[in-house]
Amino acid sequence: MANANNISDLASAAPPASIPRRIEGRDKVRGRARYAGDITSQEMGGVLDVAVAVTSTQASGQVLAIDDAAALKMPGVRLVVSHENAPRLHKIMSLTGAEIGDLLPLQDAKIHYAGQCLALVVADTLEHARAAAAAVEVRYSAPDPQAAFTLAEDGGRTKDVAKVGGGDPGQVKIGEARPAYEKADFQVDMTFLTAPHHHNAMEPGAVVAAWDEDGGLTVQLPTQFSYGEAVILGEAFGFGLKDRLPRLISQVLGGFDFNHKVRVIATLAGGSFGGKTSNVHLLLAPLAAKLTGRPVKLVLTRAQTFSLMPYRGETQQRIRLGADQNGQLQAIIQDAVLAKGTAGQFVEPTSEATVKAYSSPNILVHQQAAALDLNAPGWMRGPGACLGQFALESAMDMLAEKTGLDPLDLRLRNHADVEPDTGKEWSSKSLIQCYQAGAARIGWADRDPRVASMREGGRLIGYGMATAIYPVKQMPAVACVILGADGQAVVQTATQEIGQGMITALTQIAAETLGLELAAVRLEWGDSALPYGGMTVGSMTTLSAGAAIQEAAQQVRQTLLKWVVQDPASPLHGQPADGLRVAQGRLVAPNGASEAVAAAMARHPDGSINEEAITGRTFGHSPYGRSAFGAQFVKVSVDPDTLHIQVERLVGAYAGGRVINPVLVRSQLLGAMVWGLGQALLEESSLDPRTGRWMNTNLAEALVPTNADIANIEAIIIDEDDTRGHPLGVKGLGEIGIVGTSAAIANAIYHATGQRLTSLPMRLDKLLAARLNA
Amino acid sequence: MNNFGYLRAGDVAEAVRAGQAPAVRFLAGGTNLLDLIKYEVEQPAALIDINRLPLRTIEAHEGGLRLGALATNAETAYHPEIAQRYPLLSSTILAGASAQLRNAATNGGNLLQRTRCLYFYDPASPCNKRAPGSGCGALGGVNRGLAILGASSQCIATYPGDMAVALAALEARVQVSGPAGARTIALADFHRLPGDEPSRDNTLTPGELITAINLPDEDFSQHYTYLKIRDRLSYAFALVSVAVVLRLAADGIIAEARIALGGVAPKPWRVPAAEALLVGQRPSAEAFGAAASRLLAGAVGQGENDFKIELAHRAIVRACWQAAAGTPQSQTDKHIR
Ligand SMILES: Cc1cc2nc3c(=O)[nH]c(=O)nc-3n(C[C@H](O)[C@H](O)[C@H](O)COP(=O)(O)OP(=O)(O)OC[C@H]3O[C@@H](n4cnc5c(N)ncnc54)[C@H](O)[C@@H]3O)c2cc1C
Repeated sequence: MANANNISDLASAAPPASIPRRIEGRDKVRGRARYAGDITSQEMGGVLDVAVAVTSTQASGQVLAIDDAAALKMPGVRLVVSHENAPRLHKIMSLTGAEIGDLLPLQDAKIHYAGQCLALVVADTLEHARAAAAAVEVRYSAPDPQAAFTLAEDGGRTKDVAKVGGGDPGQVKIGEARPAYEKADFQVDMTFLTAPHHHNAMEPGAVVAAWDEDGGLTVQLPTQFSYGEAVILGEAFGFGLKDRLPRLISQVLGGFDFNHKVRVIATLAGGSFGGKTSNVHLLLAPLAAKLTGRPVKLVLTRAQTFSLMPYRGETQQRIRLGADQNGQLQAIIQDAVLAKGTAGQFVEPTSEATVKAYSSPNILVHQQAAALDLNAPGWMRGPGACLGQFALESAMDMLAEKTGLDPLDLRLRNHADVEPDTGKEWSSKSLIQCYQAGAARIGWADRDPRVASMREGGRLIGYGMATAIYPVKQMPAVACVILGADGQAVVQTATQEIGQGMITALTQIAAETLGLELAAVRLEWGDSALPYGGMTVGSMTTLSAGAAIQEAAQQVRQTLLKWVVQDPASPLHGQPADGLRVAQGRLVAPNGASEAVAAAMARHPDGSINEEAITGRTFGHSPYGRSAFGAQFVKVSVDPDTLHIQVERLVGAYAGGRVINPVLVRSQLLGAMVWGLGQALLEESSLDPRTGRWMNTNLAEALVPTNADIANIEAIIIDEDDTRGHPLGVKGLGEIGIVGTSAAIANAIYHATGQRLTSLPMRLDKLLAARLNA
Repeated sequence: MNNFGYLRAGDVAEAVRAGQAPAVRFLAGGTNLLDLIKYEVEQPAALIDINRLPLRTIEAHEGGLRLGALATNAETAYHPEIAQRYPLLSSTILAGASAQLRNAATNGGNLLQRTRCLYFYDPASPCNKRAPGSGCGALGGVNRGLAILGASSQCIATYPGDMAVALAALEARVQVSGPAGARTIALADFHRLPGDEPSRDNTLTPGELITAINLPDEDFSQHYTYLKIRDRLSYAFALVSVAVVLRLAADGIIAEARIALGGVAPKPWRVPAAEALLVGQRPSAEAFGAAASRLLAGAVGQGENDFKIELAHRAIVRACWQAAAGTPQSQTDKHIR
């Protein structure tokens, strides 16, 4: 493991001071960081009403009447908005496949799912609004007894899907997988189920909306796509073309901006991971504010986040693997049935990793979706890949057993030297190094590979592993870099900080490229009045916004160097511009002559140097296949009586190109691994299939891991040069830590007990049932 | 959340007097009551804040200990005399909730915490406990956490707490003051089965205030265990829990055994006949298994929670072994060893 950095070592000692700390970190730990829900009326010019949502208690049927007479008489109440008096909204196009692309709120009496927003009560204070909301009486028609809430009860709703996720193909056919499977020497045929589970970010949905006298609209909320939200608002509220998609397109194509009236300001997000874009509440607060003519704040309750925000929907996957005598895959067949909402286009891209993980001449993917009478599932960390790899990597483990190969050996034999579905060379791939580093760290070779053979202190011990893979994509982004007369730089791009550390990483990229100290650079972000910064999704932000910043900063540096060598007042006058270095805020010539950037800029005739760059217009199109890779290794112990499953060790080794900031990346990886552990063992949103209601809608009942559940967790980063993939060399490591975790745990449970669990979450009752049936 | 009145009681008599008004609730740590008010499960007309009452001491009483109703769970668990003489109680309290909750939760409030049944918490669902006569949503619904013993056709909710399970094994008594004066109630008689009146969790009469919990002068500090099985290792209610205390004779024969189950019934579950099976026996898988079967006689699953029957059986046998072996217990290290 020559070039593996074990960044978990950062946990024991403080990481070196040379690694910048999260710029907003001190504010966050001291409770000074401000979130949308913290916005006060003082900040809104003295007026800020509060809205509370009234939601449907049944999943189908019609609203017959909304009786708000009592509520309207209560203290402080300004308004009750429902489909009866809400302004009509215009249809929008949702770029993320979200529910509001098909179903706009408060437009008619039809009920599509339990927990749908039926009315908003607006009052002067939260207390008044909440009391009045409780007094609103809704009369319903009888619910539809045919309503279907689980895939098992789909009632003929299953349909083939053309696209999944952000546009990946729903159907894939490479070679002839069925006959190859039938002929194969070894076959594995398994079916996997995964439970729905919700984001449960600490911060629920929150939004503040204000209309101004000129008909302009400003909305503040945590979001992963400020421009996208602005476009949705522009469309829904009938603004002109300058506030709709053309604005975004003109920025990306031409870098020019229109005079626009809708402004979206992304606040800090208290957890996001796919959950905070194009939510229903984006439209609700402005809708209420339009009627009252006053700014409105809406914060969802925890329970409301279960129906008004996206979640990971239920899935079923059948995986068939065929291999030859040597364990070489001949066929991979994936048949998936995926839950969809009554509205919304999003379908979990379970196939995204399946078609790229291993070399196989024949791959067949058949994905179907079933529209259930539920709110729409949506994006969640490691979308598709983490569920797809749970199934594929569990099946690979069984194939290893059938072929008599070590699970790691089987994976090495099937290593995809080129991108399997396209045949392209990889820009870089260090998966083998990941396997080696992870295996060495956990002691893979020292285990007894026989099933149910290992014990420690009365507990059954098992080891498992899985491959992690996550695609590299790039989004268009525009960045503007302004080097001022004081030698300080301002960087502008409307990307989003969702807790991942974007502010710090992008400031670092700018500072490094400009040759300035970190403190001399300030990033302006998240505001749709700034240049287009793209979406913060898919582990793409550092690359997408970083590429634009790097390019704009390079131009600024070039402009500065060219000018300074021509400036007779500079000690660098007459030097060759391309010979100069800029570092720590100083310009240095090869002969040792130097000048501070600030000193030079103080003389600059324009007072500043401004450059703008647009990158990613081809969406990262590359002659190479591009992906981050990793390997998950797990040690579990299982109590033979109580069947309590403890993950004793979780070791992940990852290669994702250049790491801008190892402290931030470590947090991302560990957080994702913990989420993977939760997905494996705990996370489930309980649906009552008779009513379509989510039942465990609070943090006491929707379980996620606690510290006690997470023993020893380590992330290893493998150095990797991906400048062939992109000059910035960054791939993205935000999501890969969750991919494969659940499979590695399932494989470890199998090794410990001989019981193969195929349904998430793998709680002890499932293990007990498997043991009793064995 | 509705508007409610608020009274800070100056002494026990005032609290009891005020407690007789309809729809009033005593406010102790508030960790359960305030949640329920926010969920609109409880809609009190007034809260009587009892936090200033002098009920916070832990003191000697008839050779045993008296735990003030307002002593917090944390104060109780870490009290040196409790840790030494009643380690089962310390261990059990520390297996519950989280450090923050235990700092706020009081002993009295803990006994009266209400079920975690998801239908009880959801005012839009039928629930005979919350809204008598509305039906039981949990029957045929999401009931993985609910009762396998002592339920009725009206209600399959469990009493969710930990501490009372240990108190049942220790045969504590609950001391109360009410309009008709003071009395003590054996822990075994404190919580009640739902029958056809599931809205009543316990045998308190309206306005009765818990003032203390009395621990008898008995020594089970050598052979005890609290085994709590839950989906995650902290901050989760029990799927099944078992409190065991044993007294072993010098020759290793069991002289006395008490076993109480949590998480499986509307009250801490004890079956004297099952305990009697162990008396005179040597610790053995057969003896413990027979006691477990007797304890679980009549257990019925409701679908999702069927597994609890087998799980409880295994947990009882394991807990008995641990108690017999005198395995020391630390709930700081949550791992089950
Ligand atoms: C997230 C979460 C997890 C939890 N996990 C666990 C767990 O694992 N195990 C566990 O055992 N518990 C658990 N609990 C429950 C917790 O222990 C109880 O909420 C707490 O003990 C209640 O005590 P309190 O003083 O806060 O009661 P309060 O909420 O103030 O009162 C509860 C009830 O008791 C009544 N009351 C209070 N004191 C008296 C008195 N002296 N006389 C008469 N009536 C009184 C009140 O009127 C109210 O009806 C958990 C709670 C939460 C919120």
